[in-house]
Amino acid sequence: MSPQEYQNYLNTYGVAPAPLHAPPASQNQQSPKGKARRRFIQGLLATGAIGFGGAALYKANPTSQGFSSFGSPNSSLATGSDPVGVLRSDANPNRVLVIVELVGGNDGLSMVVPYTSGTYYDMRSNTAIDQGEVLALTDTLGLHPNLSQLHSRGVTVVAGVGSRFNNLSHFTSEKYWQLGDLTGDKSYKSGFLARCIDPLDQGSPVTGLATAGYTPYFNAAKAPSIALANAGALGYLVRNEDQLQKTAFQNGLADFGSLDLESHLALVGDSYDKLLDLGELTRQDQETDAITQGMIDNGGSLGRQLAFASDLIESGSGVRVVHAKLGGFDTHNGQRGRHDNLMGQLDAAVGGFMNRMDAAGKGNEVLVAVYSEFGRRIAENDSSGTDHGQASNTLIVGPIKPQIIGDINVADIDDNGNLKTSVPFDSLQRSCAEWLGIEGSSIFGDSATELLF
Amino acid sequence: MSTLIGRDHQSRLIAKLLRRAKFSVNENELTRFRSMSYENVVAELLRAPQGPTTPPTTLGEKDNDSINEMMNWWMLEMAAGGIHEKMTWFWHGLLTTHRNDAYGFEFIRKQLSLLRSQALGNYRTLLHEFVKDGSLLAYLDGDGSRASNPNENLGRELMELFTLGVGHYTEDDVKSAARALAGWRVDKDNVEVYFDRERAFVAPLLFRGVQGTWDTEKLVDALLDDVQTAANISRQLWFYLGGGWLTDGDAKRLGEWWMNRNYDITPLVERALLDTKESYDYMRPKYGLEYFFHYCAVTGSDVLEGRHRANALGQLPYQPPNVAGWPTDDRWLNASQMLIRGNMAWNFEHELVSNHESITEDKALDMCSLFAISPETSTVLQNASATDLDPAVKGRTLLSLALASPEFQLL
Repeated sequence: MSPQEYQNYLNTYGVAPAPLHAPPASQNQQSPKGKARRRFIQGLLATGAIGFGGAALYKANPTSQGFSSFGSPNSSLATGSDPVGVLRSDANPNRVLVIVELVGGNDGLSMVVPYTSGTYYDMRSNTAIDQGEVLALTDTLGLHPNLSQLHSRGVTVVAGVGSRFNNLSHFTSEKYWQLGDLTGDKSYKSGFLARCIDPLDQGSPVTGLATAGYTPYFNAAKAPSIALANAGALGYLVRNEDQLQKTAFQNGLADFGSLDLESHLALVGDSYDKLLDLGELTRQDQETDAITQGMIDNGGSLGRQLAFASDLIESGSGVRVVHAKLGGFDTHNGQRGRHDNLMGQLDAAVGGFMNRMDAAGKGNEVLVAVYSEFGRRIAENDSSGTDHGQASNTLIVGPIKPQIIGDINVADIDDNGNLKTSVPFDSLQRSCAEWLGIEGSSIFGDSATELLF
Repeated sequence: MSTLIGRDHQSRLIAKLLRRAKFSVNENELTRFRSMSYENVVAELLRAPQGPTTPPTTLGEKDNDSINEMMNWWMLEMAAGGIHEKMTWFWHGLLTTHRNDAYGFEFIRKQLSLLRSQALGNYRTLLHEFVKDGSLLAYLDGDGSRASNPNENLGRELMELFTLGVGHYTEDDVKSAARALAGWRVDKDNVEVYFDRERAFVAPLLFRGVQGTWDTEKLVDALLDDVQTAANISRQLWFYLGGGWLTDGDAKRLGEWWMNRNYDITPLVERALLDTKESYDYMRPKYGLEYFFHYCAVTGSDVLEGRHRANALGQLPYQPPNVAGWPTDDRWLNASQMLIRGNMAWNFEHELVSNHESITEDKALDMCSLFAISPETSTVLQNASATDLDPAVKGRTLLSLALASPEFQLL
């Protein structure tokens, strides 16, 4: 945030924005506000301002008859967890990774079209994108005509990205993608994004943001990550001095917690502190600018999600990883019209998002990687649709060189009639993690050592 | 560890016990039980009758609708029931299956009946049945596994999750277990599981240092005969019932004790509840559904109408996040979870008390069965009490704060 932006923020909201680069904090870090109020309460205790009357006091771990102890409330051993990732010392603390998941199995061949392949046009009599419509990238590949904003901005294509497991269930594939498990047999307990979020934690109100609601493998990390679809969900946390009841409730939330920073009680208190910080950073009453209006009008659900993500990124909430979703890609029938429409939404949402990031001076610090749980079979079915397939093409938008990574050969298919994987998806994931400054080996072990960018 | 202020010792003991042994706790129940000794309440809770073990055959238009109906039925049983429901949920978390990967309504109904009938039964019986359960074989890829090239998923999870725990077996054990478990098939049309000898491994096999002809029965028995299994499972059960995380040495002693009772579940549950009478009040987070049911009991909110809230809290039956079930640790106490819980606390619809003016600081705590609170929470409620809000609004706010308090988030 520039000094001018800082001043604007102060003038608009009457409070200082959260620091964009808070110093690295230990695992049980407190927000500055939390610390301050805990000192305040400690002061009251010392002066006897809080009276306990004649009440009994209870402590954890009293003596026990049966065992050497009752056991400890610290249950970190109770569930396996992944090792915490390692951040390189030269990591750029401003970078933000946005993962856009196209749910249902995107037909990558209709997104990045092999528009000079006779095989493609032979096999796709009803769903092919006409050669004349394609927005050319190279002599062989071009974008869907509705991806015009992204085409003029410049994109990186990852061709032939896919898995090495043989399972075309939506749920199983999505799970392995989210875990970063290329072969479907690894023992990761949390998603690869959750493993990224931990080392990026700088003590901000929120480090990881899932904009499509509860996202199972996203939320498993220790660092503050939150599933939040829009600012409305923060309603009860947004300050409004005119609403006395709300203020009383919020004051209570702010004062919950414990002097004992190791306790469960403190974890709850800190969560409220972070949420209240977010409430203060959220601009519910702001007029919608033209870029955002375009995202909302034309970007479908993804447009609204990325508009909200923009709000939080620009407000200095500390968001470093965003997981957004656009559904509707399971095009077993009548693919063309449905898919065209979704491509238009993707373009409006991601294009608009990048325009907002440019306007905020963050265009060079935000990377959007699009993926889907699997691609679709090259041969059409009889319903003018396509069935579940294997490898696919995908897109990256942001400050890396526009290029084609990997390759796709529509004439070279596997025994099930599916495109073969030329780029393992965990290479794409590890490359994204490395771009954030995370040591890939710390969250992927020996897997996916070949980096794409 | 935090020091808590006790409001009333007997109420505190009984409230803690009820929270641990049941999903729903309300003021009337507490009033009834608080005149009894702690030990007699434990006995009564264990004696309480269980609801039906077999879910009714519900007929939805589609299979998925039938599953929804069955889950609704189960949630109502959980809200109304006692220790059997609490323990069924424990087994569902440990021996978990996802409805999307379970071969549909009839198979899930069979599995749920098994978990319910053995909720306070015997773990050896339960596990033997469970590894041959159709939904489980679907979920962990046991269905159709061939000894010539077996799927290792079921064998690995059998040792990691259902018996020994990670670190207590080798990769060679995983390979051998996969072979010994191969051969099970699921007949979806007749809703049956059968054994296909052609897929099974018949030659002698080395498993955990013993050369022999291993099959599923022998394998499960061998794993259950290892005290590490008893220690691992009893330690998790102890933690689930609010007893804290035992040291390795204590877990082994508890495991030995449990093995001497032949894996009968009731004595272990009884001991966990009796031995922790004087333990610290808040040993672990309330899990999503525990918060949900307690919240419904306090506010009178309808369980099924509020089902979307349980979903938002991340815990609906047969929808675990992964094969290890739901997290059991501090991961529940994160900003995302507190966003939902705080919102529920703020937006509750109160049908149990009509005059909010009557909700004082103490009344709000009584309603939430909180009899041991931190100095900070005491201060928060005192401050809210001291505001000049309209009395009805103030009463409502006090109850919101009690529902949002850190203590109410913990078991």
